[in-house]
Amino acid sequence: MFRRKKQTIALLAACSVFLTFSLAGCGSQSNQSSSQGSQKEEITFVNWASAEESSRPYINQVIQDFETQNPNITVKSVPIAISDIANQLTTMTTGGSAPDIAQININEGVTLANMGILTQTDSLVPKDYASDSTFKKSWDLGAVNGKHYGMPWTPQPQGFYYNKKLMQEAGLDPNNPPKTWDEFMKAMDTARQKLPKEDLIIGLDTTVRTIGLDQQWPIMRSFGVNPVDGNKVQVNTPEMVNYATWLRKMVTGGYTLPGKKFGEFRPIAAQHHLLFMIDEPQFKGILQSLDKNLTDEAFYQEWGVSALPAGIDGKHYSAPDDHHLILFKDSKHQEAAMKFAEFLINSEQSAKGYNAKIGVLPATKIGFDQYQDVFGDPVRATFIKDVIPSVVSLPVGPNLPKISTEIMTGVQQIITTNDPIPTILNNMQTKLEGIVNGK
Amino acid sequence: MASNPSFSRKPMGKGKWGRPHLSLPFLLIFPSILILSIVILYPLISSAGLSLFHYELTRPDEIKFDFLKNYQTMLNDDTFWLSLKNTLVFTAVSVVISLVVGLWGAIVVDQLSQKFSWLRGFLLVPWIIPGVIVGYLFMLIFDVEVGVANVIMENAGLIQKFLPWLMRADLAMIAVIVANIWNQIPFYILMFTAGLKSIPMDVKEAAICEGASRRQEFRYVTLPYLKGIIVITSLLMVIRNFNNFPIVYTMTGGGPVYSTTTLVIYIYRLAFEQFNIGYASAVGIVWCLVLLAVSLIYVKVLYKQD
Repeated sequence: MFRRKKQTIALLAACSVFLTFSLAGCGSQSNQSSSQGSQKEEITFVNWASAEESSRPYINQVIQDFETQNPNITVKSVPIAISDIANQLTTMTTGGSAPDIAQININEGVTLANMGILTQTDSLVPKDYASDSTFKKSWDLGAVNGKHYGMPWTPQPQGFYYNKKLMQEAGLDPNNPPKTWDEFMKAMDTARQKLPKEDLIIGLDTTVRTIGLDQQWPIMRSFGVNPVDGNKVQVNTPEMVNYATWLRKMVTGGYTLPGKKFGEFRPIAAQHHLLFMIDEPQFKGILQSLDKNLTDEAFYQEWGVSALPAGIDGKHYSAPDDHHLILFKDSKHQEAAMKFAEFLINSEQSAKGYNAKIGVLPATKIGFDQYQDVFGDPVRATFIKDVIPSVVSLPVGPNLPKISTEIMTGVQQIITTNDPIPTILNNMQTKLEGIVNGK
Repeated sequence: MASNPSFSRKPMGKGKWGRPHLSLPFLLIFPSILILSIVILYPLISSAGLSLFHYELTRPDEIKFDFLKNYQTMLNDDTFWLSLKNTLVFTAVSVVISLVVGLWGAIVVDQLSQKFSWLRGFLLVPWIIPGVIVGYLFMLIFDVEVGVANVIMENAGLIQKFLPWLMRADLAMIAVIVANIWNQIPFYILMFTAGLKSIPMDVKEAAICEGASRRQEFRYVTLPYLKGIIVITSLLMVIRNFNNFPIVYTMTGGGPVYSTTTLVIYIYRLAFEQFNIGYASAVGIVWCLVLLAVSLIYVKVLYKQD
């Protein structure tokens, strides 16, 4: 009997040992590959550029160019959808398998920096980038407590696109787009009366996402509202009531569609049914990918671009949706990862082969000036000259995800219910105060 | 009927103190228990532990033991209670309607002639489509601009103008439930068809011979035979619907405002959008307890059936 029991225990122990070694075996295998990499380093690059069909061939080519120039470094590209990348990076890092370098939206980069998992890049970035007007603006917007983490790869602020053909049909002057918010609101009212129902007046992102707030933020600022400024919350103000009343009118009056992501308005724009759009530099490229017959000439005949109409304080506003590159503290290949980051930010292959091809701006003003042959088009020139200087930051910090959720939930309440606006704003005020005061 | 002696089970031997030998069964089941412990028990215990901490990933310097603070917060959290209410509404309505329609569908399918037997397989299609795809499909069906739901209803004279189904608090839950029911009905049909096949024909025939109408035969013969399957299937689906994430998240993301936010969506948003791990764990534990209670009922009913 005892013998049988002993046999059982021995077998259980053997099972446990086998399982333990099996699991440990997985770990040792990965260690082996990294130790073998002392000769040839492999860096892991998490990105959505290779997950999207429109940019995949370009980023793959850039990676190939980098590997040709740096035969000792191999880049393992890990494609993850843009909507999942922050979650995935958080999970990977907390699970102990952080990548070496990743592509991230500026605001999500700030959130990751607040988690303390990113490498500070103040001392890594070459001085000529750090003083470059385009690079510095975006780099500073992604700073946390004065320390820099995310390195700008594609600056993507929001500009104001207007459909000249529809403006003409609505009786507006296509060569004189609205310069102020007052003019803009009048133009929208006129257009709504003149244009048929299937033509939308403006594309507004009203989803509960930080990127949704990205588009609403400059509009709020134009109405004279700075909802969250440090620990100061001011959403139950007359200015915010004006904004909320305008927004509700946009939905109830059929000026826009509720609950849409701003990307969902692009196909409508490509079908020539959208009058005004607040969008990024790649708007032209995306429209051209949706309508293969849309040549550059045809695009400029139909669309114009400028900074957003000036707000009640006379200033133009825009918010950043820039794509940054981040390095991870846990990376064992920091130097190689930084070398790759520099290649993506400043090489001719990357600027011309990726940024130019997908229709975005180069990371630096130097790049913009140097490669005028590919970046000198009217859209990108307007963004560099007029839009980038108008970019203001979102309330970046550890509370940004919660603040975004609260504000955009309030925005949805404004557009989907008949609740009194002051009640919604008072409720929003209380919740935001709770967030910024850590309650 | 005498059983074949060559296949009869040997009686379990008694060990010391009269206890049966469990060595071999225990040995065989041990690896599964070990793996399940690692995969299920460890995260559960870990979550229970995390729920007692103030733990926000974006504030790594402020992580501290907070005992029951997260649970206290939950009591005053309107969104939590709304999510719980939404979960119950979503689950109850989905299960009840699916059950009734599924039962009706099973009776129809059961009476199909050989010529239409291919329909049985065809009816299972919604069940095999992944939740995310179902979500996208119905997101388009209920789209305010191009959705076919609005076109059909307008042509039928049910609505005067296109409705923003997914952007009106009172309509979004209906749209999500419709998608969920469409996805789940085949499962009920499958289960009930199997149940109907197991009803002895002689019992049915006897009822008819005794002069029972079709309705009486269903009420007093078919339904009692299906009772066990109805209970088990519905409880199984209650548990499944408590967990339903992809359809709701794909169609509405829990919105507009919080009108379709169920507990799983709320936990996801807390953990992966706000990175509030401590509070998300607390909500997760409460959600687990509710599910556990439902599961216990399920197991109890299951044993009762045996």
